[in-house]
Amino acid sequence: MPSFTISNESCKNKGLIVSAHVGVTDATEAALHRDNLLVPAPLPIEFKIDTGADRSVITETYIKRLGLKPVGSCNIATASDPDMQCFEYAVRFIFPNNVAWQGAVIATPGNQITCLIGRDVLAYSVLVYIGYNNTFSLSF
Amino acid sequence: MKALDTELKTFNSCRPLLASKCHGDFALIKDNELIGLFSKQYDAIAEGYRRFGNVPFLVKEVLNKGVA
Repeated sequence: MPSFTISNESCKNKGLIVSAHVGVTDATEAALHRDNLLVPAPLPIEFKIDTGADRSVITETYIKRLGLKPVGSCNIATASDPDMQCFEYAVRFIFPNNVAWQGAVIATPGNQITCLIGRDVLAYSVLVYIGYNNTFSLSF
Repeated sequence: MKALDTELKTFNSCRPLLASKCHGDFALIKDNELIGLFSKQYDAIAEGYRRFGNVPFLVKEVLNKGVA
């Protein structure tokens, strides 16, 4: 079972933070190759694991840099807008140890929101958090 | 017109019919056309990229209730 483990003293204060990469899916990559277009390299990204979020969220900055087009639309509630329309994009998350997940995630405007790993990704995994040891692991 | 406006209108127009038969499936829609229904979201996305490339298309879960 592909997995990774992170030990970090800041788990208690900052939460479960993962340094990862975000890139295009294999389906996107195949389409770009077929159309003789450049496949963008995965971008470094920092996530917070959030079991309270039903969907994973990244900022549009990453989407623009990857050159992706929307594959879905949804409405989310934010502090300033209870019914904000957001687009969904197909991406691949590449975690430590080359653990990968791909699917559609929500992109939000601006770069003020922390990128989140929500239960849509966690639904395919086993998350173990050993609080007294400041350690967590994610297995897919 | 915002991206996916046409696809969302198409989805909303056919959702009542789809919801009665395909609840939980994922619809792949491009412009005014329902391309197909898939049991897994990523399968619909992959088919969208295979057919259309890196352009906007809509993959939406068919639910009996909810906001599109």
